[in-house]
Amino acid sequence: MRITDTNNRKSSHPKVMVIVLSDGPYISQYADIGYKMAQKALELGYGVKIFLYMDGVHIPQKDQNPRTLPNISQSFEELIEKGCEIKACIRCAAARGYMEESQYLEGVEITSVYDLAEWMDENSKVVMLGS
Amino acid sequence: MAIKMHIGFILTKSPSQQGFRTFIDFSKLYINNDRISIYLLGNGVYCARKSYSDPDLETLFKSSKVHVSGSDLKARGIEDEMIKEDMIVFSEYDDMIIDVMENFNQVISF
Amino acid sequence: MSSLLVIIDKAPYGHENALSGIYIAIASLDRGMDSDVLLMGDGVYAAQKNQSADKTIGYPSVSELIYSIFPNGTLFVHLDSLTQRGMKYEDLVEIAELIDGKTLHELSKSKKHIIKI
Repeated sequence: MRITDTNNRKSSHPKVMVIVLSDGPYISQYADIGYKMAQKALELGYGVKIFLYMDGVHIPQKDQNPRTLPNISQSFEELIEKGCEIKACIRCAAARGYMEESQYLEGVEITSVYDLAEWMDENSKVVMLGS
Repeated sequence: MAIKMHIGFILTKSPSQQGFRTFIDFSKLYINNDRISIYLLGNGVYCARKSYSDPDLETLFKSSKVHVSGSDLKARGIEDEMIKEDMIVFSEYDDMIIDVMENFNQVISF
Repeated sequence: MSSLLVIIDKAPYGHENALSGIYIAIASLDRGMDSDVLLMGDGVYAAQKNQSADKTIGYPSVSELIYSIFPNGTLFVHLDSLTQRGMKYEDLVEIAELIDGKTLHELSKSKKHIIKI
């Protein structure tokens, strides 16, 4: 299903769903579950922010080509297009060789865990997904 | 007396996976004290199987409203007649997102 | 003011989670949140005193890092989890506080956000 009318609603919605992903893609179902949750929350008009932590920083790597599983980078590209904010922890990203945002899908920001702390405010709900 | 809360748990672990026991120990605190809703996703749907029985899990389920992801059940070959009674099978994430954002005072995922 | 409880249920060093959970707690405390750490299950091993991961396996010592949450945040250790592992309060770092189920229920209900890492 394509959703086309959420672009300007979610960023201004006072209620935000924060999804923290700590597994890489394909090793588990979490990136996919996180995508489905984010997609639905955006469709319902909520703001959605995804924080990539630990191995989660592998998720938005460019040029993924899984032969047998859904392509998670394409799914995340779709979320970014719909206004989902995605940030990757700099400590985790640097440890795994992601020094430049150009290694990631356009729109993914490399930032610190302090941004996650700021996202956890009175208007947000946080869902942590990982092994 | 403490205020009664509506707490939501999202469980993605099968009973032998790391994190399941923490879920049981933590959710126990809320039994008889608060309103509990549980969403079983991913490998969490194995907890819905009739053939799996754990006394702590049964006690928790009896005190909770339990939702199970239909696509995760079907993906794992678990038919509707194979799951415990009073489970709500869902196909879309709408209710879960609305519960998390609007109805739960707290949400915790395991 | 927002508040947070970080639950760590994995032993340190074997997984990155204990370290990463503490970093979230430190960052949220620095941002003025009312944050605490709870060690449950194998997470209680993170509070074992006399760890020397830095000198041995080259990892930052979780038992030293955890002091960064003090005094604004509290390091809670789940009593039942500790007992099940044959450990005692004397085995733990000085800032550790034991917590039973009833008190944990009250603590968790007081928090806006709870994450299990």
